[in-house]
Amino acid sequence: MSKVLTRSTPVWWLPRKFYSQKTRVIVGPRLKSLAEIKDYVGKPTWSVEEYLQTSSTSKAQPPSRKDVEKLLKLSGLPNENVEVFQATLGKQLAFINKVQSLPVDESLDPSHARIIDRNPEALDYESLSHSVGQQEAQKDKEIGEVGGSWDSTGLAAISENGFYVLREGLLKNRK
Amino acid sequence: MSFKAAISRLDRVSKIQKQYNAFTYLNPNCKELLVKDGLCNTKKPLTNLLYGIKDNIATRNIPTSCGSKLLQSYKSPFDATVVKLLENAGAVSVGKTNLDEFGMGSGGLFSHFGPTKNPLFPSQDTVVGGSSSGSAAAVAADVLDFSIGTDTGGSVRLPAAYTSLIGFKPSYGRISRFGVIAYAQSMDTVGIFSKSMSVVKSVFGILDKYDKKDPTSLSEGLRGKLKQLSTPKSSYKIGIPQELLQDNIPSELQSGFLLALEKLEASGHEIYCVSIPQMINSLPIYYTLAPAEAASNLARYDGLRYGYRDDTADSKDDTLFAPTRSAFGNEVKSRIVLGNYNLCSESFDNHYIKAQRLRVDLINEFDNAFTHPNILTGSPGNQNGVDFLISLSTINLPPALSNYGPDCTSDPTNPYINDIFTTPMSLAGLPAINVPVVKSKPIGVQLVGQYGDDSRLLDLAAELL
Repeated sequence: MSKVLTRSTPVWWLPRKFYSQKTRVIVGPRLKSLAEIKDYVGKPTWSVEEYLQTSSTSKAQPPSRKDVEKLLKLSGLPNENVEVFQATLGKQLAFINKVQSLPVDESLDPSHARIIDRNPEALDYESLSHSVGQQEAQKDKEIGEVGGSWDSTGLAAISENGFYVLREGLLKNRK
Repeated sequence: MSFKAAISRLDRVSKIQKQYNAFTYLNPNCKELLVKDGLCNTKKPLTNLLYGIKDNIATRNIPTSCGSKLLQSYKSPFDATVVKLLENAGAVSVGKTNLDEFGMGSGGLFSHFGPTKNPLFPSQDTVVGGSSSGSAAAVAADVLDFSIGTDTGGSVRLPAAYTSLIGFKPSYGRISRFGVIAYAQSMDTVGIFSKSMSVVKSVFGILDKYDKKDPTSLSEGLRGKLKQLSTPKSSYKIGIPQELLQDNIPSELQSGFLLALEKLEASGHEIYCVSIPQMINSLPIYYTLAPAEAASNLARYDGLRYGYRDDTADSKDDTLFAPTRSAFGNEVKSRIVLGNYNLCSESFDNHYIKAQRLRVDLINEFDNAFTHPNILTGSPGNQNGVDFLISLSTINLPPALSNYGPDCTSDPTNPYINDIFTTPMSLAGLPAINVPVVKSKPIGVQLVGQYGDDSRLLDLAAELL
């Protein structure tokens, strides 16, 4: 792996006083003049194009035909152009495979990746029963929560007597 | 905007559509609605304003295609919350705007309805940027006052930069996504395009509301907390992340960036160096997580219940719905396959879960860089941090259409790097805005705030215009 893409490339030219031990984030120093700003902006420390080099020069074997056929099936796609999918997936994986080799703090809770309140207030019995009580009154006709408000097969290209139609017969009769 | 000006804009729509292919569907009742509103005595906040809405947002009266054959004539039984709010506020919809199929693309080329072209370059077919391609093109061509797009990894900011528009992606959860057709729901955000900051602010004011129909909508309680925190200052600390400095940036972009920085400094703001190391890994994190979410979201398109259905068969190669689903475009198919790879038991822990942990680390690093608290994570903010971040919005100028297609074909990951400046903010749900720095030139800078710091971000962005 190229040096500039390693996780903890230090920025030696920044004064140590700005470096916090707890985090790798560095804030400062202040750029006091346009000349200092120009100098800083003109000195990138890595290049995003290295991702493309990784993707185009990767020696890793593209995924096998068997694996791609399995993925096509999982994706609900026909078993066609398998070689094209192999090549594309190979390049995509070379692009994202860096994720595998990066060190990460295993104590981080992956559910915190969701952009929602990490510390919500716990629901007590009263608030729970209150919201259950409200449910019936708050049912929304527009989103089909009220019985009879929605013609379930109205948008189907093929339907019969209010049923969806599958043209291939029952699952048990297929391979 | 006057009634007369709105009518004259409307008269240009069909010509602009022929030239740039910005719309997937034009609202036939548009003029009638405008006249009706014009006769009404009560003026609403957005009266006489014309808007377009990205065609992955559900509308009851006109079709919602997602730029895909799979939904080419689909008509939703309900309106998205944003559509209702805009109509109640008096804005009139000109139609649905073109997009990369289901939001997957950064060029505006991968639509079932054909590519959208960039109005800044009338004499040469040029990439407009995506995926909210039509929303950007129609505003740039002056037939709309504003438009609504969606931004998952940069789909508002990138086309805004390529068309010299303001393109605002608010904090995740501020604008309702009820009726927004999901691509990658942990990042999908509704955004606003316009040439006028006062219009962006008015539209955001209308849309920035809690919606019980959207489970990720920011609660009233947290909105209240944000209001208390948002104290405007006359001088801000603005950081330039070194990870978002790149080689091989065209000189016009680099000069535009310096121009913006000079302007901010002259207005009394302080500019700082900042390093947020996890940003470097944003692209592989994004392209691990977004396709995985897309694979799940797009599993529903089977043709059985709604949308396009293959004429003859429901099964092929012993795979149910494959004949219908083969109508997805190549980019969508390849991302579904990649997403399913990442979700497979063999790779789940080392790909998907690992990427989620790295995303958490990135969010925590942003928390360490900003002075403003993060009301979602509980971070009190770093007193020695910065108030905002700044970078360029794009790594290049919009290429000619004839160069873009072959580039994608030779390596489908080539366009992925265009998202390097925009994906970190999407992963952390931060508010970010493209601000054009040179009039009618595709040169834009991106300003970024801490989660929820949207109002102050808009005020700061206005100083650059």
